[in-house]
Amino acid sequence: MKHDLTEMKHDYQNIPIPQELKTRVEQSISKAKKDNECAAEIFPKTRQKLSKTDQIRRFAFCGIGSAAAAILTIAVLANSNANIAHAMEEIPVLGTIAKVVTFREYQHKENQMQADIKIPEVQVENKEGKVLADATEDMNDAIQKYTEQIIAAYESDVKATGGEGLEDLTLDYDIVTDNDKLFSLRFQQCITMAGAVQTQKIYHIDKSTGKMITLRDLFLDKTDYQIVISENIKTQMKQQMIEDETKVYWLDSDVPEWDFQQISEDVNFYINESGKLMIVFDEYQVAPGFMGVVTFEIPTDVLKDIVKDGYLK
Amino acid sequence: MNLPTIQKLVEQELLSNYASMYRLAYTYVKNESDAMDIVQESAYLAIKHASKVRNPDYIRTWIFRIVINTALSSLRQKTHEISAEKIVEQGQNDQYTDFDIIEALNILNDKERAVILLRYFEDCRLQDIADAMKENLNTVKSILYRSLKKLRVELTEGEICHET
Repeated sequence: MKHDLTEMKHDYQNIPIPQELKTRVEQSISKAKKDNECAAEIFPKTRQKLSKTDQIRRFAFCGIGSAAAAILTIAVLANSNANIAHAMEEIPVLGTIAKVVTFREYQHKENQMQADIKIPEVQVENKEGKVLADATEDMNDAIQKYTEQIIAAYESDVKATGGEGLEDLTLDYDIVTDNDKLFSLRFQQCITMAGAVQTQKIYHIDKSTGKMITLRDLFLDKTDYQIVISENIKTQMKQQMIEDETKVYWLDSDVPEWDFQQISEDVNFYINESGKLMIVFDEYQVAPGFMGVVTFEIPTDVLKDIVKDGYLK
Repeated sequence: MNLPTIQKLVEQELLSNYASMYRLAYTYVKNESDAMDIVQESAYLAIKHASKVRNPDYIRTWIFRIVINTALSSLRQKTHEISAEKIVEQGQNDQYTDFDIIEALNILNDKERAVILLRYFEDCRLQDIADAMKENLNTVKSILYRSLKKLRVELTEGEICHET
């Protein structure tokens, strides 16, 4: 027995180690460290109640071909309370209009490193066409901080490698939602280094009010929307794992401290075309890397008692 | 312990153990490219979750545990891909290196295999293995004995086949 194990161990130790392994491990380490810093730094002092630690912006390495998207959501809405929402329901007039008025572009190319970053500017107007300075400033501040931070990360990569690195970064945007109630601007970032990584970020403007919100603002005061949504997601996870054994979520797993507990206040979300609330998790947030970004549609039925009128269908 | 310190420790362990991480991953996926992906992903996860390390003594074992979990996840995904593209049965044999004796490990279930690999091939302490696997020491011991018993059966049968 002893002999067999020794032999096995010998074979084991003879497994050859690829040369580039060390470099790839170092890349992973530096990327993860950078992400840990980003998580702490992004949007430190916006007027929203975004907690620093929960701002998750990850670059994850994934096998070629399994690149996935991550969505980071910032909600931009008004001081909407239940009464205002009701009033708006009864008088179907669009209060504000948000539009993308201009964009700047950051471009850089050096050897194998290149970046193309589009930075839009948004203007929020009331129905008479008067620019709402506060809302416009809030939105553009958020956009600026977000994009500056991406540029800084890229520039530090260029500096670190003396321009000899291999990196391709693009940041583009589109309007993901534009209905009676919401205007949502989505950023899509794609970084190709060792693997391709996409991250997203969405800004929402409530057209009826014109200011910034988080997920909380979609719900009536003092409701436990986080628990309601989280419980529904857990049910969906379990169901999916039963139906398809290749799906894995961190739920009742053997690493309990990674298990999904509850959505954070600033969890990524958007409202899809059918008016359903979609909750989006980045890679590694609730599942192993190969699952990529995972999205859950929350049935409106589940939320009907706690959601403010007008957002969901 | 604060995050920068623990992160630094995790980083050091990663840099001195990446070869072991690779070998561990390799025994699961059995090809170079997947094993490298797993090591890379595991290194990322280890730094990312460094704050969750409670006891610096078992960082090394904890990292190995991440590698094993990542490898298992990747295998599950692979099973899925293969069943989706059954017709395209190619490639694997080219990269496949023959480590017959390591193949004997296939008889073990996930936990047994992890314990054997960590204890005998990577010389981790049983207590560290128990901590990393969130099991108590006695459970790990009994998994170990069970695995050795199973392995003996497997190896003996192999030898018999070989002789005849």
